[in-house]
Order: sequence, then C-alpha cells, then structure tokens
Amino acid sequence: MTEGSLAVTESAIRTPRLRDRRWPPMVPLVIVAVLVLCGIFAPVLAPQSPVEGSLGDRLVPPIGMEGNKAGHPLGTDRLGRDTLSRLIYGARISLSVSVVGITLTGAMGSFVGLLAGFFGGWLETLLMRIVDISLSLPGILIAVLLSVVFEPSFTNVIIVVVFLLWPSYARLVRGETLGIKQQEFVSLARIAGCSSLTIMFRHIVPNVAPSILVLATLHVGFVIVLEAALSFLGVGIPPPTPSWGVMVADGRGLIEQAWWVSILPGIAILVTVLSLNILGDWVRDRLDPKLRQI
Amino acid sequence: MQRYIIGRILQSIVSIVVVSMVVFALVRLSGDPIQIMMPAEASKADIELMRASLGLDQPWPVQYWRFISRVTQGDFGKSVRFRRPALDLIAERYAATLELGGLAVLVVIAVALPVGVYSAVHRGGALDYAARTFAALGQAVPPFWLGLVLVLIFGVLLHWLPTSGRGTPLHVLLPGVTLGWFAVAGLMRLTRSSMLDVLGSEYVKLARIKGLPERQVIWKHAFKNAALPVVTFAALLFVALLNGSIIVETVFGWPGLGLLVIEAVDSRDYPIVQAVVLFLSAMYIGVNLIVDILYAYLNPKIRYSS
Repeated sequence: MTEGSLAVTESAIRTPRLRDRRWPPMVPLVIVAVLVLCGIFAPVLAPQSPVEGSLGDRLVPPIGMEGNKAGHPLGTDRLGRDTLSRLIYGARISLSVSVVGITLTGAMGSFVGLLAGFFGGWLETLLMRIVDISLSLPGILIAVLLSVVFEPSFTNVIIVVVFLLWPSYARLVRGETLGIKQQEFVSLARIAGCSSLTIMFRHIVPNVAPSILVLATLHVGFVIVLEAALSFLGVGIPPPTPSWGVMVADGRGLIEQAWWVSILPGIAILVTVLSLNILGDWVRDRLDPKLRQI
Repeated sequence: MQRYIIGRILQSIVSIVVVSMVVFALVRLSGDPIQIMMPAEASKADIELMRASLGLDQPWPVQYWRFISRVTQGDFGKSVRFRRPALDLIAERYAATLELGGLAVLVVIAVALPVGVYSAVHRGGALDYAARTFAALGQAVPPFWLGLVLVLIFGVLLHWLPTSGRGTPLHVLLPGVTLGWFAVAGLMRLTRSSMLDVLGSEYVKLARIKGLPERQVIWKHAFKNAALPVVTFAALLFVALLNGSIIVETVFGWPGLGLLVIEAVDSRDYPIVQAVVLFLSAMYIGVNLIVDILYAYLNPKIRYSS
C-alpha cells in the first residue's frame, strides 16, 4: 500500500520532468563524446608523447601560473611528461577497461542467468549458489592477491571487473527470464518446434537486452573508478602507461610543490564518472524505469 | 527462518573455504618458494632436503590440508620482511584500522541520517537540492583523490591538520572523513528515499490529522519505520569501509591492515599478503552473514517464510 501511494505521488511529480527526458542531458553527453574521441584519436590529438618527457621540463606548472612553458597547457610531471597528453591517452585506458570489462562480464553473467532462469531445477540452484558465494568474496583483496602472483596488468584489471560484476547480471537476467518464460509466445515457439537454444537466443534474449544495457551503462562509471583505484594502489595498470589512477599516484608525494600532477587527473575522473552516471540514469529512465532501485 | 539461517551459515563456510583455496592456489602458482628462500649456490640435494622438510614435495591436496590445519591453529606463517609471525603483525595493525573505521562510521551516521531525514521532509528545498548534489558528487569522487585534495587544503595550504601517520587524535581526522565521505552519499540517499516512502503512508497522515506536533510525527512515527533498510545498510557499510580502508590507509600512511597488505605487495612478502587477505576475507564474509541474519529477524517477510 505504501508503495502504491508513493508510486502515485512520484509519477505526479515526475510527469513534467519525464517529458524533458526524451533527449539526453546535453552537457554530460558532450563530455562523454569528447572523451570517446580523445580515446580513439589519442595519437592525433595529444600534443606530446605520453610516456617520454624531457628532463629540462620537469614539474612545469599549468597555464596561468608563474613558470608555465609554451606547449604544456596543463603542466608536466616529475619526469617532464606533458599532463594534457597523458590525460588524453588516459581516456583510452579508462574507456578500454570499461568496454572490454563490461562486455565480458555482461556476456558471462547474462549467459549464466539465462541458463539458470530457462532450465531451472538443479542447474539453477547450483548457478545461483555460485553467484551468492561470488558476491560474498572481497573483490579488492582478490585484486591485491592477483597482482602479487601475476604482475599487475590490463588483464588483471579485467579479471577483477568480471569477478566483481558478473553476479549482478546473472541475478538480473535470471529474474527476467523467469518472467518471460511464462509468456505465451514462448509456449507458441515451443509448439512451433523451436529448440531450447532458439527460444533462448531468438525469443528471450531480445526481451532481456534492454535491462542488460541499462545495467551496463550504470556500471561504466563504477568500472572507471575501480580501475583508477587499483592502478593507484599499484595493483592495476602498471606505469608508465598513463592511466588516470597511475597519474594521481605519481603526484602523491609532490602534493606540496606540484599539486597539478595528481589533482588534474582526479578532476578528469570526477567529471567523467559524474557525466556517465547522469547519462546512465537517463538511459535507465528511458528504457527501463522499473530498475530504478539499482 | 531456522532453515534460512542454517543455509546462510553453510554458505558462508563454503565462501571461506573457497577464499582459502584461491589464496592457496594463487600463492603456489606464483613460483617455487624454495627458489626465494635458498641461496643461489645451494646444491640440488640441499634443495630437495629443504623441499621435503617443508612438505613441498607432497601432492597439492596434502599441502592444502596442512596449510588449512595450520591456519585454524592461528599459524599464518612468518613475514619474510619482518621475520615475525604474520598473526602478530595483524594483531598490531588491527587496532589502527578499527580506529579509522570507527570514526568513519560516526561521521557517516552523524551526517547522513539527519541530512537524509531533513531533505525528505523539506523535499525540493535548498538543502534537499544541496544534499542531492553532494550525494551525486560523493558517488563520483574517487576516494584516493579526495584524500589528496584534503591533504592539499588542510595540510599544505592551511596547515591545520597533520596529513600522514598516526599519533594525536588530530591525525585520524582527515583519513576518517575521507573514508566516510563515500558512504555518506549512499546512506543519505537511502535515508531520504526510505523517509519519503514512509511520509506518504496512511499512518503518518493519521498522526498529522490527530494534530501531533511535527517533530513527533517525523521522529517517532516516520523515522522509526524508515529505519529498517537504513539499519541493514549501516551494517553493510562496515564491509564497504573495510574495502575503502585499503585505499585510504595508503593515501595517509595510516599504519593499519590495508597499508600492511599494500606494503607487503610492494616487497613481495607473500605470507603477509596471504594472511591479511584470509583474515580480512573472513571478516568480510562474517559481517555479511551477521547482516543477513539481522535482516531476517527485522524483516517479517523472511521471518515467517519457509
């Protein structure tokens, strides 16, 4: 009853806002678009090399501060590497980790959820138990352990992303599949002689896809912060690759003389993640408002 | 209810066993420990003797069994760097992590609950708007970066607070706030939505119609009912703080378990990494279990099912 009355008041308040929401919020959209362009065209856009610096240009402050040098609008780090160029290349790392990581974990988790929901029985019990156990393991510690055993690498970060996120896709897809399985078109497909495989991938997957997409969009910001945090701790992307997290870590000891080295990449993370979260909320409201709790 | 609890306990045991197997397997995969321990000029016979004396010539299941039986007796091995039992080091650092976590929980509860309630009651007001902006920011700010910003402002520019290490009560302020920040955003959002839920209900309307003072309606009738999801979140918070403390301790040089494990990673001190990961995982799984059982008690839907 309380839920019903809340839904009424919420929808009454939201009606005018929902109409505006036909179009995505422009500022975040532009920011993310610029970022994607930076990621793809980094070698063309970056004014300098992201990994090679000149020792004569160490710790040059950003434009507008005393001592700034031409060609380094955002200053340089302690090895004389250009901050702007490193930020542009860093976009590449953040985006590739989120695209590769979320694609893998989404595909894997969704497939598990699909199997569990569609076949039910002992398979469902077994798979969902594995999901429960996986949820109860501490992700960041597993990352730390992985980095000790295998050297820190892109692959490690992807493993951690997949490990942390697959249970939520499995749970979501299982729940949705259970509902869809009951519907008439599935029985009709069965009567028409479709195999289980055809029903799963031709009839159920297209119906679950919007929810998967929503969850994936909501995860992008999380994955970017996760990658940055792991790299910051030295268990993610190894230096000198210009990951934003590595850049923040580089500037840690320099905070007194050269704040820009770690503050600027942090702002890049903040703005990116905020934009992605706002866009994620928009996609959710457009495609699948019932997921609002996530 | 009983079935549910027993099921949850069994599942937690399986989780801990899985963690211990993962830890064991990964450490074994990382290379031959004998190579690290023995000097380069050691003869083949000496190496084999050492291997046999440590039990490393046994098959994996046997080795795993030995490892587990030692761990259950509190023997987590010896630190390579400090040449001391891992458990002693954990015991030393544990208090620091708890102190930090305790302050963070205080910050979170003191800020998130009142602000969450206020912004639900004065929905659409200036403070509600500010609180929601803060919550959106709070979930996008990377905690390690926030720590550095606080160091820059309060340590470098204003010289108000110490920025590294542990000692005076002032030392805990910056790391505590950094650790709490992220959780404040989440708990505030939850309190707000939970309060909004309750404020629209019939019994709150009735309380208002009866003419009760607003303060009493909000705290006695609404908040008490809104608190259920908040309580369970507050417990989960603890788990989140445990994860966060690894990052925050590294930023502030806070000598807790998180810093211990990151230092051990840097110096390839396997026994310490293994011990801390096992210890923290067990805590993580244990707290999750307690939260779930608590939730089952508080939530009649689970209490009366099965």
